[in-house]
Amino acid sequence: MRGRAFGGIAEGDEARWSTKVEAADVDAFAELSGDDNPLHLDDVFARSHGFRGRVVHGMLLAAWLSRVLGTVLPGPGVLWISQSIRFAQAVYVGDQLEVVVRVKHKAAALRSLVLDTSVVSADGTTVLSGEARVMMLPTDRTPAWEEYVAVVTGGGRGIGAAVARVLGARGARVVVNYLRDADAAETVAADIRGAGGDAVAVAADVATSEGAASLVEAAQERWGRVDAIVNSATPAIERKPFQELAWEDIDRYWRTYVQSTFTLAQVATPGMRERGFGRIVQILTTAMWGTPPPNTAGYVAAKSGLWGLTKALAVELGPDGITVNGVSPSAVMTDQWEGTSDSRRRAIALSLPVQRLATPEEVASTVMFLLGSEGAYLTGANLPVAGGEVM
Amino acid sequence: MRDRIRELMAGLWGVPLELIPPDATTETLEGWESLRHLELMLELELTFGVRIAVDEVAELRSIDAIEDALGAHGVV
Repeated sequence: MRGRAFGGIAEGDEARWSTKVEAADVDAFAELSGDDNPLHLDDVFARSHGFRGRVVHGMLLAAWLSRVLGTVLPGPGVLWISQSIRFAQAVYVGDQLEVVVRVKHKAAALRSLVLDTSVVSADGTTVLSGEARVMMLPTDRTPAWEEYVAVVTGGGRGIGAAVARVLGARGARVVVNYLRDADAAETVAADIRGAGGDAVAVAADVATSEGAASLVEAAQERWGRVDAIVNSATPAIERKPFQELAWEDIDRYWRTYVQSTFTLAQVATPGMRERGFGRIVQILTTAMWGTPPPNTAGYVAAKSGLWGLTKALAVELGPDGITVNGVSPSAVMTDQWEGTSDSRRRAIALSLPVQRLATPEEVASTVMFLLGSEGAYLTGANLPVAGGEVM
Repeated sequence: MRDRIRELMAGLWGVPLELIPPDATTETLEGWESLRHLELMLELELTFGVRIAVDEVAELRSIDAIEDALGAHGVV
């Protein structure tokens, strides 16, 4: 989309657009407006009143101002509320003009701008001056998948790998984050490149601020932007009775889920705000819905904290076109379940209304819905992909 | 302060001052609708040098509320 996102506009920003006035422009404006005043159409009449030739309609200059407001600054989605105009000098066919728009005041809460507007002739004379007041309506600024840049934490395995691969199949560019298994992450990245997307596998511990921030930096260095973050990284999930639980156990979950999201969002959102588009999706869990399973205090506390952060960010980032959502899978066929016996897995599957476990790809399809334009109106939502386990 | 707000509304909307009662609200004052409200909020920012917060925009729907909010922003 042309023009700028509201979040990317600052006081002092300026746009200029030049044009030369042609006789055909004046004739066309007279035809369109019905203003056939001889002052605009008849050279002899205009000269007889002391002008150099026929005078260009002042509102034609205003129409060119409208062009700049509607296409450049602020651009598509602008609602022109009011305009003061002073026509300081007559303009003639053949004059070279420059329309200048400068942001004088930005009212963020009102999505509104006050703009100094002027039209200047080639010799620097201001021929039109005034002030515009405009509002910016939110518009869909979802990039095409081929331009889309995503960071997927824990992208080397499980749900993260499935999301990364689907993004790649759509042509997106993906930072595939991993902690230890470089081979798995490189395989995912190679699959993405083979499918028509682009990818880089990046080792980083998202449980540290430096590690999380390095993923955004990797995307920005390679592709200049980050459109989406999918927080899928997780430490091994261990069940422990509360009395045996150490704070360090909780802290590891907390830093991997909550601190990593905090850091990634804080580093990535300035760019998202500037482009008026961003998506943050957390992989949550049905364990935090209703009554949690026993011996999961650390895991459930940290995922619940992440859900709280998700809602708070959704409120703050929504005005800038950034949505923040969660997806809560139930039992998914990932390596987290490797130590679970077949009979236990079957029992879990049969306890669900759909009577089977989810595939990582089924979770990925819901994540993709949230990442694209289809999910644009969802924010602060936690979607269960749970085969009916929670409702 | 109340009279300054009324004068600002009258000037902005091009209506006589006496048509804007001191206790006007969006419910009681005809024409105080969405675009005019937006114009008024923007004019308050420019005139009084304040920055209106997102959660204030929907609340400032009476001269009473505007006067209170300006006071809270330190405008006397």
